[in-house]
Amino acid sequence: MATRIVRDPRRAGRSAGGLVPAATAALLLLGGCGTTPAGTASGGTAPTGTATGGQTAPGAPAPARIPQATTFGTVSGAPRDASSDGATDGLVVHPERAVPVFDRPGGRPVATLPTEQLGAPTWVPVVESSGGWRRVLLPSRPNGSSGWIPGDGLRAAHTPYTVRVDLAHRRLTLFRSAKETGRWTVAIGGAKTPTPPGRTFLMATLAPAKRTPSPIVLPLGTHSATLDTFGGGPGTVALHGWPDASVFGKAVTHGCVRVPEDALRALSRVPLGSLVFITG
Amino acid sequence: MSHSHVAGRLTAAGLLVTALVAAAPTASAAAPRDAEGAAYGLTVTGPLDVPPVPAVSSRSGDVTKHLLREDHTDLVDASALDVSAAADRARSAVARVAVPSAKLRADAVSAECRGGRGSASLARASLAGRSLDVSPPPNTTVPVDVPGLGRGSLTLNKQQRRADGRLDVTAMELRLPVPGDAATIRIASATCGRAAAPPKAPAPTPVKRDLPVTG
Repeated sequence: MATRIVRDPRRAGRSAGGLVPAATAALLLLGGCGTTPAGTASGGTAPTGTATGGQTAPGAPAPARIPQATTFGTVSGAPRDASSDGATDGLVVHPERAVPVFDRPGGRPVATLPTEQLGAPTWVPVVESSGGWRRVLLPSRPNGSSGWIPGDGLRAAHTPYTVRVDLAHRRLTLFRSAKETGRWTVAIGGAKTPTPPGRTFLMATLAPAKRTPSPIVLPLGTHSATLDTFGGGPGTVALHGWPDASVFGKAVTHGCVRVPEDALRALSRVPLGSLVFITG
Repeated sequence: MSHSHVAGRLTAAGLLVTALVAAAPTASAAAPRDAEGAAYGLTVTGPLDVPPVPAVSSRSGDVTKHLLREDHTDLVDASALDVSAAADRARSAVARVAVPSAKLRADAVSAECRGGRGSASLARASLAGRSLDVSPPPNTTVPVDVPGLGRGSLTLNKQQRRADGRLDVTAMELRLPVPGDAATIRIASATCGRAAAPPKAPAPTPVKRDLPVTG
């Protein structure tokens, strides 16, 4: 059953009759939503164990008040991503072991970045460097969270890809080495559940148990700004396919970006950690 | 010297920045595009984390910072720190260094890294009353006995190659046997060289998993 929490009570009142059926349909189409990880409520400390792909033994005690930086958690005190529209040199890093995340180089620990996100290796984009420290985008709430991690023990790689979602024109463009390789008309969030603007990244590539409405779902490191939870999940925004082509070009989703089949095929080959710019 | 005592003094002192000036980067010379210089004056890791201060890095022209410290701590005392970095070089100089618990003192300590090669120099430096070499060879290590705590080590002109191929040069690295964990004090550090280009990021492998997303 689809459940959701709308941040704005006025919206909750208005939308009770209009959006829940649509949400239910969307969730059913998205493969019944599968297993809902524990601890999906927004706020508080992210669960250990299963929620992050098993890198922590189930049942192990959570680190005291230090949340895991996953799509399920909220990181308090994380520095905001100040350059939300800036490109980088494409550096992405994978922690080979869980690493502490600090609010500044050598500062206060605000989270732990695990080695996996949703069962896939954690790859996050580096948006700033200072000495041996790297500031990376985090996949947690609040949107735009970033944090500093020590450069030691990181596997570094370069991605030539960036994705731009133009909400005004309802268009997604894929770039490789700053050259456009594809452009598609897409569906974006509706007026009451808009797709959140900002700089984020491809967090995972999922193959749902049910291939309809989309055989591949690409969760991003950002969340709906109006839905605290959605279908038992944490309100994660994703790129995914949609079987009905009539939606493309419309603002009808609950925050996700629905893309045509050939766009999904191209996007599913883009390395994790690649930046996604969502602009209004 | 207890943990909490030292931590309290460090926190109270807060490594106060009394003067901090950063120059804007200027146009670069013919440094390789992936070259980056970086430097810092002092850092402490272990039970007492002190971030590198002051710290600079540059992939283009000269960037400098100056830090003047008036406060003292039980653990380490350094009165003036000057750091600079450009794409192909970096330098760090720290004046009037004292680590009382290790009886380590120096009028000046500096590290320089240029074109992937490093050097360090000490002026009127001594450990437990014994003078230290003005230009110590790379990775010169001497034992340090701390009364009541045990034996630590002091490495002079520590030179270490990073995983990305760049060189770290640290004029002094002092490991103190603080109870429960070692505290490491690094004084005057410079990094330079051309970083190896990272490999191509891998194409993702889809994970069989369902996540409710905002359809």
